[in-house]
Amino acid sequence: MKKFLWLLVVTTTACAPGIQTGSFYDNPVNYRVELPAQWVRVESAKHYMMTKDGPFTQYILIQQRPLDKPFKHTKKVFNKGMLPQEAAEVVLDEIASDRFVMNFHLVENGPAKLGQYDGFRVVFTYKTKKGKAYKTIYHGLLKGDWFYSVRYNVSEKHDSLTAFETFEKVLSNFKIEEV
Amino acid sequence: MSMIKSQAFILIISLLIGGCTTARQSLPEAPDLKGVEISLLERAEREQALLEQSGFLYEDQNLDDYLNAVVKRLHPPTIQSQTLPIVKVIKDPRVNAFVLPNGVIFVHTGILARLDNEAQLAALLAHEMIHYMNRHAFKDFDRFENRRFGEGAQRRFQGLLDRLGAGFAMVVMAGYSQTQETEADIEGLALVANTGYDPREAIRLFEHLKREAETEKYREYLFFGIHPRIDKRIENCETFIKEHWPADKKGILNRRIFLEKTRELVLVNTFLDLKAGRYRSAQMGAEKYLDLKKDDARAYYIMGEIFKHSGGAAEMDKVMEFYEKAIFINPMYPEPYKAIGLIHYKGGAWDLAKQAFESYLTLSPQITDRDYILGYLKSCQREGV
Repeated sequence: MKKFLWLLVVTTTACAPGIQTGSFYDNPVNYRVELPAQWVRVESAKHYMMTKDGPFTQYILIQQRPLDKPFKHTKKVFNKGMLPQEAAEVVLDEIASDRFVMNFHLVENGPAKLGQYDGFRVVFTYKTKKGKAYKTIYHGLLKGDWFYSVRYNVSEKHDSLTAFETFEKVLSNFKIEEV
Repeated sequence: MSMIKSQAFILIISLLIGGCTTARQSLPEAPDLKGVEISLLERAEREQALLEQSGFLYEDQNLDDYLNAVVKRLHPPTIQSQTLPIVKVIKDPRVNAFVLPNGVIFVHTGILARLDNEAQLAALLAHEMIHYMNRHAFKDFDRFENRRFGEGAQRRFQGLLDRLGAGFAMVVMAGYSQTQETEADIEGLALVANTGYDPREAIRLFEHLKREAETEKYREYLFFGIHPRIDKRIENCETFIKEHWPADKKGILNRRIFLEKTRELVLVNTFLDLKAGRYRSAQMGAEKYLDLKKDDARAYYIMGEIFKHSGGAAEMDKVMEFYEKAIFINPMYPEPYKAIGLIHYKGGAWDLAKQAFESYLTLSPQITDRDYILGYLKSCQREGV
């Protein structure tokens, strides 16, 4: 069956176009997200990122990757039979094995929804080599041949600007289009 | 998924969003040697502070004292005026070591865990000490700065690298010339022999490095990666030994004390190997640890994890045996209960899964993955118990 994969981005800001379809990944994507009011999508060939105040302050990043795509820092891989907890472990091991993620501290690790799907939620803090501190809330799930993730990253320096509610809305609106 | 890749992306995007234009700046005049030295030392101090505050430092005062005592023993009395190098250990399973220009030697747990005795450790430390004592970083500053990225590119991208954290340590490792590396090998070997250690053990060190390179298929700038070819280094060592060390002479090995001091580190490094998915290295580490301490539940648990990840369904009986052995040795150790619970849960053996998960929660009620376990218990209840 010929695959028909697509992306629909609903935008509400003057900066971004109204509707966008097509694929922006090396691999085409088949999920749908809504761009929150006053947030802008950052154009990129490889990521779907949205931000309000600039990505060094806070951003939401959505990724879709094939299950068999190798990671950069761990040789662990996803497989189809994994529970969400086991998938979370692979993600955490990838991050913890990255030498540039310093002072990594896991705050939370548990089951959670991503859209209507069962997945996991991990919350962690870390510092960059320049000493900048960040907090990340990371939701992920395995479905079919793909791993999907939606993460919110915020600089601890700008925690007064945090947009947790916005992130929750993005999570709840996340949909996978069956192909 | 990669944090660094994401950060690079963010940086580029920030520049685009800002819409800023970058003015081309003329490069400053090359600083005199004094300025270069100060600059290098300042950067080394910053890098040291960064590593010490990164959460990567392996903190074991007893081990640190031991490693620094070996350095002191190796340090030649003729240059006592120079500051004694200091050794620190980094939690990183990759086989690596490097010295900063201020004399601080960082050794990865990965290389310490592979060594067999103090003579091999001495060969490793002596190599780094020669880089420091012969001031290689200062002597070849241009190469040191530009080796990895090319002269123009390195200057152009220095700001980017700094922001991304691609740091000084990497430049240190990539910066020495092959001549300097050979010098560090040969003069280091002389230090080892003069101190009474058996220099033939340096060859074993290189063999460890070679095996590691082959096993993990390194592509990075590591201790051996940018050095002259390992076979050539072994050849240089053999020539030195033939000329300076009688065949029937016995040197110091200090195997027992070395293994005693590094035993716990071997297990910690095995967990790091497991996290990194380096299963063959993890297995070698776990087996080495079990040779040293046969009754540690953690080692059997980790063997189970290694075979679960690397062996698949065919190895499941062996996996269960390791977990059960871990529980037999230490019934209060929670991890194997969870591991057994997951196997039964995925196999639909709900009652066995329930028992194992309940034991896990009883032993570790505050564990971070508690909500997953509670969810499994609900499913077990619903599905059949």
